[in-house]
Amino acid sequence: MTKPLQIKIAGLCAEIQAENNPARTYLRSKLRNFLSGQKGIDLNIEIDRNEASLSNQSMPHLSFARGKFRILPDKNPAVSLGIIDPGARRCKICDFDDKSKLLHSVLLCFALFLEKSGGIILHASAAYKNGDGYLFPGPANAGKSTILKQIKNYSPFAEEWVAVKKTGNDFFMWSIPHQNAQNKKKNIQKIFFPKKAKTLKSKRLRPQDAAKRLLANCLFSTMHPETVGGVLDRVAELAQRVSCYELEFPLNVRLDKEIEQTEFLRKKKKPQEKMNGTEGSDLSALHESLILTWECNLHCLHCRPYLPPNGTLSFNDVKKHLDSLAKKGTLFLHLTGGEPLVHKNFWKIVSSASQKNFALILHTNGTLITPKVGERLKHFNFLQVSLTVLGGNARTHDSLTGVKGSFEKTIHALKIMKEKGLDVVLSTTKLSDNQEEIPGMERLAKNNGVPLKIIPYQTPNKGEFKEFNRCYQKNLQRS
Amino acid sequence: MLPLDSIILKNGRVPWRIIEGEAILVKVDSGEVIHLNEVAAEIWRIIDGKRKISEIVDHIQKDFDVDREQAEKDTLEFIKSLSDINLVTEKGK
Repeated sequence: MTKPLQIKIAGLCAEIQAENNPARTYLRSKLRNFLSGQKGIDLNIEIDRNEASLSNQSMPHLSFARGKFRILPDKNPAVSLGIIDPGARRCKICDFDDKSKLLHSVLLCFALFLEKSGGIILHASAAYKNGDGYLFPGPANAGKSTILKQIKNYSPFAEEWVAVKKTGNDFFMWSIPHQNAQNKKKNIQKIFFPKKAKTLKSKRLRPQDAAKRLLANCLFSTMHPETVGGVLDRVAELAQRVSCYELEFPLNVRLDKEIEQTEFLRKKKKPQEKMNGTEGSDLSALHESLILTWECNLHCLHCRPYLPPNGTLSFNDVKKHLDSLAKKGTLFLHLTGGEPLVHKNFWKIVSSASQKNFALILHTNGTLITPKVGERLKHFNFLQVSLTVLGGNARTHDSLTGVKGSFEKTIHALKIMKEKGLDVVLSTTKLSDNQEEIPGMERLAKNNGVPLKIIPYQTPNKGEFKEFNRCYQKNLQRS
Repeated sequence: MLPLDSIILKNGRVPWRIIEGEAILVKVDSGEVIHLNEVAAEIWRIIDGKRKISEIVDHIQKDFDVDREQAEKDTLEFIKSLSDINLVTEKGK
């Protein structure tokens, strides 16, 4: 009886016997390069003398019990194909006649070992340039291998599986032992989720969205509920620390520029302490609205009866809100109401918001806009002014606003602001009373060379209004 | 290229925010949104109309894993690209 074949993934201590079994010979050739470059990794994989064969396309998978993992064939859990003991860092697996199945079993062993030592394995391709690594995780046919062919200035690193582990403050990637690729670790700079498409487009992903996608491409996430906890934490941290993008790309287009973008230096430390009040900010707070007052100089039928009494923010309250929104990372600030221009400190508020570098958008009925007001709006860098109209002509508009002459004033405001070079849009609320006016308002917008935004709104009936008002007042008191 | 002892001013018509270490700038006149990566965002953040470019380079060299020559080259190139699209101006010019 001969000794079982031992593969010790431990620096220079590799001993792989030459055998005639093609799967084993293949494994040996794949492991040779990897082993010669590794130090300090200590995992024993024994390949049993018992040959196993799995039918069809099924691949070995793992089950967990009493601190150990068993390798099982897909459809017959009664047959054990091997055992992995992460605590003892020992694995024993059957000798498969099919090299891909043998390699997959080795991958499972390696993944478990890595999981125990704080890493993860991602279903991803990867490339590198000057020691910097770029990851492309994705399911089959997402374009993982294709992308490697379309980035000429980067060297391929791995095509199918990548090991990721944090060292110090940075995340590094390695190739998997039996894959024929570079084995020196690379510092992960960016992660792109590839998607084949007709046009080239990339967009930054929020960490929480990127984490979900990483998890979906993580070897363990779908296989072993017992190990998900640790993997989840690592995936969340990886998504937080490394910029993640979705990259839609057509075939036969060079992608180097997309990958590179404008990054040219690597940060030594996170600049959290220097963010000047924007720490903790994320893209979810990019657009926010601030209702300065519920007071209004019009009496719109769909709005006026529902406005709470005494609903005006003091200047000090507004300042507190501005500070808090700036900290949250809000950039586009919508000033709205009621009618925001009736707030007695409107210009003081605008000046304060402008100093805090908000991009301001004003939602107004326009009736208080004079050439002087237009000039001041221009001075304070308003990105856009949205004017509310409720009808396509004075008759319908004025009947809904309850103020005669309001239509004329709003259209006059539109002309003033266009003259001042401000970006203006007309905005309307779709009510049961003005549905037939939509084409008229579209014509009005077109004739004045501005877009029309339609806000769908269902006018509440009296019962619904009472309930709405009761809840609103309760919340107001609570806050 | 701008001299290292020049002082740079931000365009006041550009609202901005640093989010997750990167900057988003809005050119109000055109409505264009510009995204700056972490390093560019740090340069943008410290442009205050008081610091000389050489002081910005000092800061970048201190904070990032880069030698002086590279920091100077990249900072000058970036400030020039900001200047080309009127996001910054040289003080006194």
